[in-house]
Amino acid sequence: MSDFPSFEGEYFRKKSGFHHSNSINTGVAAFGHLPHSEETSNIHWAFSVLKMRMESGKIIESNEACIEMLNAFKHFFQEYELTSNKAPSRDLEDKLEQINSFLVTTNILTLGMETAIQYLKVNVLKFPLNITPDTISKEMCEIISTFIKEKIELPASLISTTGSNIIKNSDVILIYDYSLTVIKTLIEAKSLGKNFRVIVTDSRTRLDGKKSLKALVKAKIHCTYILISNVSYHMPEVTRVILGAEGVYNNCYLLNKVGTAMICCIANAFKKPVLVCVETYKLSEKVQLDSFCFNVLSPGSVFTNTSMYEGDTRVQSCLSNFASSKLLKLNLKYDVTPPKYIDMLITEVGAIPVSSVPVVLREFRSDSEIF
Amino acid sequence: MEHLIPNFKDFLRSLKRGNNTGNHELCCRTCKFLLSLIKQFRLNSVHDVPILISTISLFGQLSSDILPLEISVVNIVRRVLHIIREEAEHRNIDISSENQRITTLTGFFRESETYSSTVDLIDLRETIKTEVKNLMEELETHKHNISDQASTHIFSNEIIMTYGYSSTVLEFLCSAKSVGRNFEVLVGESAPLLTGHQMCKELAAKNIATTLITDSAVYALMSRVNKVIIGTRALMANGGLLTEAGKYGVCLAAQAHCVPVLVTCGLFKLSPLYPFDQDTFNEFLSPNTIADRPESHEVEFINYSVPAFDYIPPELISLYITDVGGKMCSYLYRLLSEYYSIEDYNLYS
Repeated sequence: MSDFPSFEGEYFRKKSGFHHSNSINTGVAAFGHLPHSEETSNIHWAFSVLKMRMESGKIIESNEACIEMLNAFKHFFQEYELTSNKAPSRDLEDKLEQINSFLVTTNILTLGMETAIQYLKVNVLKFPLNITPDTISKEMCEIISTFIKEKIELPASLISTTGSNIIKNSDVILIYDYSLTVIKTLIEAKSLGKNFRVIVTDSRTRLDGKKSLKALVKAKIHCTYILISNVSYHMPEVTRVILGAEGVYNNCYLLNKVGTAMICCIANAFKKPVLVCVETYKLSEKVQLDSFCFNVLSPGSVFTNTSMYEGDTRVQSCLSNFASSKLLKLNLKYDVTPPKYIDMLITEVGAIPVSSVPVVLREFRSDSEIF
Repeated sequence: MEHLIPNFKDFLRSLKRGNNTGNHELCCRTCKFLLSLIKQFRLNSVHDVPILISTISLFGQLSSDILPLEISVVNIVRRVLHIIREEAEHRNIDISSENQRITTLTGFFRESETYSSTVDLIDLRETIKTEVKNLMEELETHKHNISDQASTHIFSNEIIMTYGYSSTVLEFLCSAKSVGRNFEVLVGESAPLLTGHQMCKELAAKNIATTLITDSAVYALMSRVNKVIIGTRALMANGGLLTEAGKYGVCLAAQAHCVPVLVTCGLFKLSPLYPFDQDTFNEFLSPNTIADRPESHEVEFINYSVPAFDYIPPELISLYITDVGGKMCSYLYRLLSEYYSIEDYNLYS
């Protein structure tokens, strides 16, 4: 009972809660709007395999995931057969739409992958109506290879060249999670003879930072491995924070693995520059203001099943044999970082301020012809 | 006095070994130990009172050497010293040491006071014992006094975030639940020790709607949170907190979203020390809490770092909920002079 009748129940609900008010619904109420994974039978095998591989957690890096998806499309185009009496380009358009809606339900799409699918759709529609299915599949495979090369691999090496020049001797660089472009930048800076140190930040439950650590140590870079709860202790010694990205929204908000916003917030409090390495194919026309509208929930059971390292017996969760209707386990995959925390984007078109995202989109991608 | 040192050391080491019982428990045991010390002390003349004070000071010095991070244990010693000083002053007993600091301007010009040499020493000892027993009682009831205020701070349908395990916060939330407030709690799990899991378990057992979140999701979810309530290990003279690592980030995220941060803590945790960075009071946990042993060729390139504590500056805290009511950080210095004598701020002088 509240002391103020008007503050009760429905009348005063300033912010909606995480628990459902009734016991019929399950899951986290605040994220009830997210798409649920459904079983779809009539989908090309390459995409079912892709879904399985993504869910097993083997592919976690955004560029890797995008290339993996494009390879699945390659398989799809190679085995493409005309099944309706439409023109091949129109038939393909329908099928691509079907695949797209399947991929949306699997929760594996990020902003870069959406751009790639958009690119394929536009290119399919460009073919003349009288083209044979054989030619179209050959041409599409060609187009996919070009995309991988020109939009993912080449930009990544351009970024690492720009980024490695920004790194100075005796820098202390804080990185988070695992991003191939960031690792590439750091390794290139090392090969230029720069002398710097890296603080690798990691967080439960995914612990992908260990991959970064392995890659950097292999390149003989000195690393300190910490968890996200200790970032505030180490932030004073940091000179630069370099992060990767899953994508950047049109309103300059950064979409990345959960925890990025936390690190940027702490870096901002200590007045440390935050640099984000991002290929322009990851820039999106969409806009987003918070981490609730779009997100992916990982299963809550990993909270209790994941230990800090393989074979760890020391840190045990006391929740492993505990279940209660009053206890939810919320495991987010992404979060959104406001542009006020980001000082610079390093892209293949150069180092730009974060506010230039819409400009880059307009200049390098027109409506009629993507790219 | 020197003959007591091994005794003191033994006791303090036993405290150190039983470190996982929480610092409230340690404070209670220290208080009991000091009470028995006062009981056994030979108080034959008024000249023995300064000796009692220096004996307890010595104990305080040893405890800050042996348990440098159990700041509240040393606070208890300071509290007991303050009690003895107050009572002695009340009875006009000369307790001034030669290097005593003059704390007021009038102290310079004060005529040398006439100290009485005939006092009822039995009464003195009894009063001190009663006061120390009161202190013990305060230690035992402080959580209750704090949680009594819960209904004025938590309203219906609130979303409250907390981080890691704190028995004071737990009792505070349970008290709000017991007066019929319906609210939800988000608990940061506080890796690598996962104390947040224990917190979740106990909250859910009390029928409070609880959601366990990762440390990394704190910023992402902060926009839905109405209040952050955390416990602390020590409260510094400037209002800063010495807490488990990770709470600094939580407070910064709360500030970024204009969410108030409440700190529940007993006043025995208020310490006259001033840290101003993360290193003044800290320790490192074993790296095997976060990682397996690296392979031999990797060893020279990897450092594992697990600091146990965070120092949180007072600007990030909105309110301190203590056993004597809610306080602002600008008022804490005043409470210091109420509970401690200025001579005891630095026990080594």
